[in-house]
Amino acid sequence: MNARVFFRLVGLGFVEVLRHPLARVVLALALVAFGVYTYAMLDELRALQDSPHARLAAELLLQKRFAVLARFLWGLQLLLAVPLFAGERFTGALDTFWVRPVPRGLFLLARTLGRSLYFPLFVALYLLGAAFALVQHRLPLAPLAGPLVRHGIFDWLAVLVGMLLLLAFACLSSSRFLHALYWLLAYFAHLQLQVFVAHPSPNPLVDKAASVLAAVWAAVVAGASEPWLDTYYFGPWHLVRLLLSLAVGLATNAMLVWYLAQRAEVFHD
Amino acid sequence: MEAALAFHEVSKAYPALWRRKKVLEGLSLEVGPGEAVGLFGPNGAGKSTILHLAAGFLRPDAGKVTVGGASPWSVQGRAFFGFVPENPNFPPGLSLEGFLELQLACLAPHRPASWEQAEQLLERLDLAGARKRQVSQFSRGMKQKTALVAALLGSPPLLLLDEPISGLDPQAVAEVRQLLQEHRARGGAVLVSSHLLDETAKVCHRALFIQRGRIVHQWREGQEPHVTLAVLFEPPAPARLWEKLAATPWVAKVQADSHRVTLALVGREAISPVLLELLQSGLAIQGVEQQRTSLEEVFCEVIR
Repeated sequence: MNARVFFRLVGLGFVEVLRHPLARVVLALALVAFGVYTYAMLDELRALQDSPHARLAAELLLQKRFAVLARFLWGLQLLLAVPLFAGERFTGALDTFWVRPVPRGLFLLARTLGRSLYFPLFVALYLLGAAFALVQHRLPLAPLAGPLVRHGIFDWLAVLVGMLLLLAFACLSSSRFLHALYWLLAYFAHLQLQVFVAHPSPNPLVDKAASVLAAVWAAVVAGASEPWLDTYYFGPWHLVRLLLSLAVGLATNAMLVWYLAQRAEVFHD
Repeated sequence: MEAALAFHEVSKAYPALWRRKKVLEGLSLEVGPGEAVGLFGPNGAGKSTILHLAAGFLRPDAGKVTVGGASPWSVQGRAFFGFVPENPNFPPGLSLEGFLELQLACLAPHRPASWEQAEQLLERLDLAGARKRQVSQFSRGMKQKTALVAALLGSPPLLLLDEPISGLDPQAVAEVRQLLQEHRARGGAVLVSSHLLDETAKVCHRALFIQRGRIVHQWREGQEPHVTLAVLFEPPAPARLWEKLAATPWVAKVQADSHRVTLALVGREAISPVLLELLQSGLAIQGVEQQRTSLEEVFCEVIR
């Protein structure tokens, strides 16, 4: 498979999601929500116009907004995941390529990559909205760099890897029942994680490590990122509980993955 | 010579909530090069499962499936066949031209195909005018034809066709039949599943009747399951003639009314002795006609 074919298949995977009506609704909702968010942000930034510490105030505001948005993103991703994982039937659009003499690993990777591009799309939309708001109010764009590094790069990489894994397993599995079970477990694991991590730690290195671990955990288990975790801090006890939760979650995950791998095939009808 | 497709003792069950649902059990079949085999059976008999196993969509729980001697999961195996699914779906956002270009690119190193061949197939299947249209928005018949064009690219040695003519107009059905006959003439093999039995049988050497995942009957080209004679006569018929005929080794079934008797004979060789028997009995024969048994009738007889 050459690079051109690979990227064409990535594109097809991206568009394929839109075959499901629910995915279209979710994307439309996301676009509307980003519009509303930008409007609300513009409204709040008006108060910062004359502040002597406009940059700091804008960054704090962005962080606050980012946390809210991240929860909102999780919800969107969960919604988007419903058609992605529960409705395998609609994925038959690429059957005619599946039977072609192309390496199936690369095919799955291309398709998965295409399907998981919605998350960075949301992030990009958010950043565009935020930048638009700052430019409108003649505030410096620098605050964007902070959240971008903190929430964008690390978490996005973790999310990408996690989603690729999860989507590949979902593509390989044939059981809708297992998909539903997987998502149920993932959702509860995600809720558990939210409860566990909410206290500050004095050590920023521990914060960062825990944050990345949590993002990987959330990505692998729940298939979604948690950029908002970075705005919280973890105490030692909570870290222990987090690690315990990680161990339990990864063990559950490993069992599911093992089970799926035992009977891996693609079901198309 | 290596079989184009071989199933050896293949079993397959689908996962269900409580226990697995068996679809195929110990199924063995072979399709040789240049041979066309039809798969007939009621809904849920396992026809599509057989095709999906052959195409590598599914893995068998037990047994072995090979295409051209290779696994359908290998790149080499997948280069060996073309596949038409029952309900072809195409990715949104691709024109017919774009779709075929991508298909050609996927095939390129293992089963080279040319754009000229694609053009010819488009012309023959009356799709040439739809090149720029979105393939995902085609009608069912056009999607079926597009899938067939994609399957035929690079002239694969084996074609796996799941209901390839359902939804096609009569002209297209005739063209598909012609294409499949040409494929056969080139030494290509075909495994085709269909509910249109007699139409499908026109391109098949053999037909396998599947029920509950097992082959329950086989039909071969030129083999009539029964020769049926309809005899018109002037009543009355001689006493106990029908019972006497039914007791002979030539007659499988007798259905008589006051002016007409329908005799299902075991083969062509039974025609002369049965007619002789009728004449010798003194039956006043007014007419005799031979009725062909359609595969639909065989289907109804075999699949209960």
